[in-house]
Amino acid sequence: MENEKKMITLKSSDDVTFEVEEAVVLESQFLSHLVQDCPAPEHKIKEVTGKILSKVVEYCEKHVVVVVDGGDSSSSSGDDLKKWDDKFIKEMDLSTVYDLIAAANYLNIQALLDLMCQRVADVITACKDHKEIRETLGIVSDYTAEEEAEVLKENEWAFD
Amino acid sequence: MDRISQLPDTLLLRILSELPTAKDVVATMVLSKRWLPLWKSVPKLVFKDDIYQNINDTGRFSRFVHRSLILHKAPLETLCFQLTQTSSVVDIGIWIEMALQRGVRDLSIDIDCTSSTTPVTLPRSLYTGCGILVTLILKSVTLVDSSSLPSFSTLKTLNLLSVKYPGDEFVKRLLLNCHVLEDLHVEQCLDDNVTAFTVRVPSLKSALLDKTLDRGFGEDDGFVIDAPSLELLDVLIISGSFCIIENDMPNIDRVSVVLYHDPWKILWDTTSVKRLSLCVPYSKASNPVGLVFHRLVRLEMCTSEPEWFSLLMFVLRASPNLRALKLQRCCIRGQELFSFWNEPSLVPECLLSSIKTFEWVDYEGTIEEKEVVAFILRSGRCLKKVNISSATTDSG
Repeated sequence: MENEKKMITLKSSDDVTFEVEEAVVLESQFLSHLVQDCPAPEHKIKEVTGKILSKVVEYCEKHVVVVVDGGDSSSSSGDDLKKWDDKFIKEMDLSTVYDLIAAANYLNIQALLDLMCQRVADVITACKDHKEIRETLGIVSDYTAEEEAEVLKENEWAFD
Repeated sequence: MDRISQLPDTLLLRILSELPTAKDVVATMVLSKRWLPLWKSVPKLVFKDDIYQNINDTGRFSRFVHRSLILHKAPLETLCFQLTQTSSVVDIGIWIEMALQRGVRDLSIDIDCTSSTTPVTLPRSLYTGCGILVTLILKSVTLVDSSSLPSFSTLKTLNLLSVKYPGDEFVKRLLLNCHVLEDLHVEQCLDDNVTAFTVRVPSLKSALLDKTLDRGFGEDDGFVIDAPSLELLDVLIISGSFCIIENDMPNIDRVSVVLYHDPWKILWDTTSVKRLSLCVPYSKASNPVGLVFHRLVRLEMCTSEPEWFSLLMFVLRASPNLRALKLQRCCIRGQELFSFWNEPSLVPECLLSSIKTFEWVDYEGTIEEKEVVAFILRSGRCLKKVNISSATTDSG
């Protein structure tokens, strides 16, 4: 049949399976090489959990390149995608964002990696000082109070 | 170690590259020992002086830029300056030299000193260092003359916005030396010492040329374009200015023309265009005979001009293969009187046989507009998708 789409099964580290169209898999550089080199129906991705892989699949399914009639992609679809991305990241906690950064890097999905890095950068920018950044991002400082005071003093030019 | 700090350096650097200013980047050194050295490897730094507004801040911004550039260890790929204070621009020459020594590839200098009348002149070392730049963006700076200009052998993107030049000849030479330039954006300002802006770049693929920024004009004011590889062309000029295209552009894909003057000279030279956007006045007197856009598939037209529908009918008749038509008010014009719509006796070929999509944004529903819509809907035998919307409500 002309319109039959090739399906591929992805299996997460914790054995959750996802059946996706081949076009969705091609959004990931890593997976497209994997699928080309090893044409098995199922691929295990040991480095990504089911929870994170479901987010990756959700993102890739939305971002699959759609060729519009006439080859002219309309700007509204770009806007819609942007809105979808905004909603996608707003609903996500930061620990999921960190996992998605690692997963997007591993699977080589540059647009997803950019989106997630931008999200963390936005969070950092919204903080008023380094204490708030630590608290929001969950960064554990290994400075003693004296050491921290020293860093601030030595680099006074950076903070004044 | 906490979750985010476990990410490898490359990913943390990628996050830091997205921070809006160098100040935000450098400040992350105090987060923890893991983060202390990271900022020195961030490939992109953006220096903005707008938070240094107080009179006491004089020198503090310069000190910050200096130390950041000196302590930074890795190759700097992208460096941007957005400067608003007269006191900040004093050292711009030194910073440019430091940046070029660090192998910067993308350099942007954006000056917005409304309070100062002293022009910000860039050092000649910019030209010699340009051999490594891939992107150069200059705004509101003055370029000085140089008897010999080197080859800008890597420069792909060049923006010259409100830049002042030594003269016409300098601009011509500058662009001639850009052998691999693909994107050029020029916005000419008042008193920039250039009248005929000559773009002779065989590698150029995309050009946006704008002369409308509150310039005076004269008959010798205009653009000369010799760019046979051009694919995208946007021209904005004012009445009296010229735009000469010296060579065929067989790869031209999209042309957008906004001007208060006869557009036909440009259109004659770009008849192989696929997408065309027009915001131009129409005059029957200059109606060219024999103009045909064989490859044109998409037309956008501004509905701000009087007699725009006469122009529309003219272009439709000249475009036998048009597939998509969009009408939109892209600018606001004076109170010129709109003439009356006369239904054409001959329906343009493309309406009968090829136009599939018709879109009208900012539809106002005047008598003329209603008649145009009625005509298009009645004649458009292949129409598959029609979308008409007004500025306030969607009328479907």
